[in-house]
Formats: sequence, structure tokens, C-alpha cells
Amino acid sequence: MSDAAAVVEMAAVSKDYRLGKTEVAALRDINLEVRPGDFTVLAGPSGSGKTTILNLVGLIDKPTAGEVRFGGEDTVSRGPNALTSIRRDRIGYIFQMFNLVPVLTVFENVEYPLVLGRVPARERRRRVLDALDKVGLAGRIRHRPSELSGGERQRASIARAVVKKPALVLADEPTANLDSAAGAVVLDLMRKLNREEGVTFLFSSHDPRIIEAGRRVVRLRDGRIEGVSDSGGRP
Amino acid sequence: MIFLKLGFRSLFRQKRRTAVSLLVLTFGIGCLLLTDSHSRYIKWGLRESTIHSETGHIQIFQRDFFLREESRVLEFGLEDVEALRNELLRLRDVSLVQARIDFMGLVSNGEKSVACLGQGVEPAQEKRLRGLFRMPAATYDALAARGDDVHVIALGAGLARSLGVKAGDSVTFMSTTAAGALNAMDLTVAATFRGFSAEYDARAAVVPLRTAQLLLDTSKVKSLIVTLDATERTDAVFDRIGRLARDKGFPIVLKKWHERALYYRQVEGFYKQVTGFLSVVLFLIIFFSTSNTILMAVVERTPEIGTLLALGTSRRQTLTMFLSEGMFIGLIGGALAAAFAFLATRGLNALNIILPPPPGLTDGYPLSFRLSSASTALIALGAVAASALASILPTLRAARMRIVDALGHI
Repeated sequence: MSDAAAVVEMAAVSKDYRLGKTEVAALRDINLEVRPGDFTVLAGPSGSGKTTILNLVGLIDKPTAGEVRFGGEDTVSRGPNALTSIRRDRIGYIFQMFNLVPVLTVFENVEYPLVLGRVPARERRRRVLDALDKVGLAGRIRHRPSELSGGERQRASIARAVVKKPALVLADEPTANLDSAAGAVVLDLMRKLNREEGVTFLFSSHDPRIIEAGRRVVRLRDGRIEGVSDSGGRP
Repeated sequence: MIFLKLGFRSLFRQKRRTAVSLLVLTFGIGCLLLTDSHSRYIKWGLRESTIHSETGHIQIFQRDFFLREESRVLEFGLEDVEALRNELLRLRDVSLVQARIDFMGLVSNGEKSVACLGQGVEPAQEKRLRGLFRMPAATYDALAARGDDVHVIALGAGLARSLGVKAGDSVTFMSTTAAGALNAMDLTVAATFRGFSAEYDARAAVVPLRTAQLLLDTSKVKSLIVTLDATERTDAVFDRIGRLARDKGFPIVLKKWHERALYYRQVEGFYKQVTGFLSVVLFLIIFFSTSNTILMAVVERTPEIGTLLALGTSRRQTLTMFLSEGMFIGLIGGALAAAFAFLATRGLNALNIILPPPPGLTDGYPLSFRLSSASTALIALGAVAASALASILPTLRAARMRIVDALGHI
């Protein structure tokens, strides 16, 4: 591991859900940190807590106990506006179902986070075209998501996630809805962005081929970290 | 800007639902505009016909006329009106000044006598007054055609029928003079006429002003009727006449046409109530229709709302997006309704449809419309406001969503 300051740290984090009258422990005593340039996979079967960790790290949910620190700052006590700002400026999301806005073009979808960040129009355009070029969608900027294949949609989603140059990109089962060929393309793209651009990824998967690709694999079972394997090396 | 763009484009996601909402809005607001423009036509027509047949724009009475009860006919009538009339005719915007006397009497065919409401008028002036609004003036034509002959009378159709007389027949008119004595004149029926209601026709008689003065044995008149070039000038001329009276010492009191037009005020009140009630009903329909559309949009797009919130969209920006969607529905619906009302009023006006007479009245009236651009803008803006208002609750629901729940919503 490098000595660089962690992008995000989870310390003794637990998360309980209430399902009717039953309390369900989704996470138990999780300690995890993601450092700049990491390419970390959360691996484990369904219900192991992968998505819950991504939700907590992505600041769209709060832990029942423990601390989630983003860029060294505690986030648990922060109000909704502060969390919105962190999500807007420092976190990129890649969703399993792509979650592109259907009424916006590919260009507008990728541009959206920059609009939220009040990036000037000319700079926005440059960065969006650059991001789309990197994901191989430069020729599809005026298309609507419905006019793209699944793989193309996920690549547009990746461009949207990285265009604002976030400190961390979270991806929840990014290849689960793709065939193996498209999944491989998406995975290669993420690895390339990590290697060449230094983009920090934390993503979840239960696909063995994807897990193999992770330089650092955090294995989860029943809401606990079962083990961490680190093949080392960061860009 | 992107939130407005999102709001606008989202209208086309569920085209059928948006179309139904717009249809409700277009026809709702369109019908309200039609009702409003028809009531405007009715009020305008009634206003101008009232002014050009009864009230003029301003009525002038002797100063005490409304303060004390007359114990004799024309006790508080106007004397020496020519000087005042000449002064009035010199005022800007004044087109006509005419004198009138209202009195009561009995009209008889020799065998039967019927109580009637007489009116002494200046036939040539009355004809000009009606001509200003292109109203029929055959009665006054017939009276004016007799020149200086004071032995003429025009009878309401119902009164003539009751007496069994027609044009050319003779009747006797009896009344009390200003001094309280009984007086009578033999008069020739110059014409019969139909007024606005059967009740009026059964009691009304019109004679030349001079005839009324002879019958009442007076040189006074009850009132002077001032008619202007345009109704909109009423307030200005009213003030001018008031100043004139003070400066020249005329002992008079003034009334605007609106104060003397009871029937007009009743009709105006009636239409205000109808339009008001209809407005409330239609705005409720628009409110619930738009509210339903936005609520459905929020439910259907819950994962998308979750995504946008996760990407860093603020609650306020989410509100803007859905509120703008509601407002766009209102704007488009309002614009379509205005276009619909414009075309419908044009088309219906061109058809010259005559509606049957309302209860108590003798003549039908045209189904015509006067579309007001101010009203159209106001009502269309009301539609936008109602749509925006209707969007608030569902929009708040969207803005308050927990991101995790929204993303997991199926």
C-alpha cells in the first residue's frame, strides 16, 4: 500500500436495516480505506454488503455506527447540503443499470455533472468531448441513451463519472447487465482510466472474471470483511 | 437551464398522458375564455344598448331630486335647460344632450283605460342617440315624422293590443298636471313598439317632450341625458361637468350611467358569479389533472431522481425541474387554449347564431364573443399558476426522497 492519504476511510462501520419488525445487520465492524489510484473490488455473494458499502462511501446513506471519512473529514455528522457538495465535486458513480437520463443526449448526460459544478460552457464542452473520446463515444454525442447498446450506455456512464475528475469513482456491479464481450470492454476501459489517468475505482462484483482484474480485492460475507488480497501496484 | 430543459423534455416521455393533461387544460381554459368573452360581449352589448336607449352616459337632475320625495310631478325638475344644454354641448367628448320627462297616466280608447308609464322625449335626438349604436329607431322616426305635431303617441305593443288600437287610431291620454289638476289630450297613435320585455311593452307609452309638457302643464324636464363619443370617457366628462356646474352655478346633480342601470348591474353580477364559479371548477380540474400527471412522473422516475440526487443535484434543483415541468404544461396548455378561444370566437362570431330569448324578454340575442387580450393573458397565467401550484406537492415528494430508496425503487 502507498502512504498517500486515504480518499475514503471506514472505521468500525455497522449498518442495520429494519425490515418490518426485524432488524437486519447489513454490515458489521467494517474497516476499509481506499487510497488514490486504487482499483479495488468488493467481492462477495448477494447480500454480503457490497452495495451497502458503496452507498456509505458514496455518501448516499449513513452508517448506524462508526465513521466514514472522506478526504480525511468525517461525513457522518455533515448535513445534506455538505454531502451533496461532496458527491457533486468529488465522487463519480457508475450504476449497474447505467442510469443515464433518457431525455438527454449522450453529450448532455456527460455534461450534467459539470453543469452542477458550474464549470464554464467552453470548458465543459472540451472536457465532455475529451471524456467521450476516451470511452470511444465521440461519434455518438447527439444520440439518446435509447439509441445506444448496453455496452455503449455503460461507457457513457463511465464518461459521466470521470468527466469531473473525481477523487473516487464508485461502480456497483458495472458489468452485471452486459454480455461478456461488452463487460470486458467496460472493464478494460476502467483499468485503462485507472492506469493512465490515475482514476481511483471502488467497485463491486460477484463475477469471478471481474474480481480477478482487481488489484485489491475485498471479500465480503454476511456483512463482514472476510479477507483482503492485494496484488499491489498503483499507477 | 439544464433543469428547465429536463422539465420540458420530460413532457414528451409519456406523450399520451401529457396530451390528456394538455387536452384538459386547453378545453378547460378555452371554455373559460369562451364563457368570459361571451359574457364580455353580453355586458358590452347590454352596456351600450342601455346607454344608447335609456341612460346615456351621464344623467343630470335638479339638485334636490334624490334628496327629497316629490309631492307633485316634476316638483324637482330641471328648469331652463337650454342654457345648460348649450354649455354641455361645448364640452369635449359630448356628442348629444337630450331632455326627458317620465310620468304616469291613463291611456284610453274611449271604452277602456289602462295605466301606463309615459315618457316625453325629443324624437330626433332619441333617433340620433340610438343611431350612435345602430339601434332600431322606427318609433322615434314615426314620432319625428310628425314634425311639430304634438298630438301623437307611440304605444308599447302590449299596451296597444290591450286597448285594441293600431297606428293611425286615436287615444286619450290623461294625467295629473304639475299643479295637481287632471288633464287630458287626444293623441294619434304614430307607432307601436316592442321593448326589451313583454311587461314593459304592456305599460309603456312615448310622446314628444312638448306633448308631455303640455299634458303636465310645465316647462320643466325631469333630466338631461348626456351621451359621449366613447363610454370610456365617462369619468373624465363627469368630472368636467361637475366643475362646470360649480363654476357656472347650475343647481344640478350628476349620475353616471352605471348608477342608473339596475338591470345592467344585475346582469353584470350574474355573469361575474357564473364566470367565477366556472373558474373555480375549471382550475380545480386543471389542478388535479396536472397534479396527477406530475405525481405519476415522480413515481415513474423515482430511480432517475435518485440518480440525479446521487450525482450531486440539490433538492432545490430537483424542485425546479419538476415545477418547471408543471409550469410548461400550464404554459403550453394556456397558449393552446388562447389559440383555441381565438379561433372558436372568430368562427362562432362569423356564424351569426341567434339564441332564443331568455325568460321575460321578447327578442333573441346573438351568440357573439368579445375576446379580451388582457383577460386571455390573465386566465392563461392563472393556468400556469394552477399547474405550478399543482406540481408543488408531488415535487416536494421527489425532492425529499432518500437517495438509497429512490435508486432501489422498481
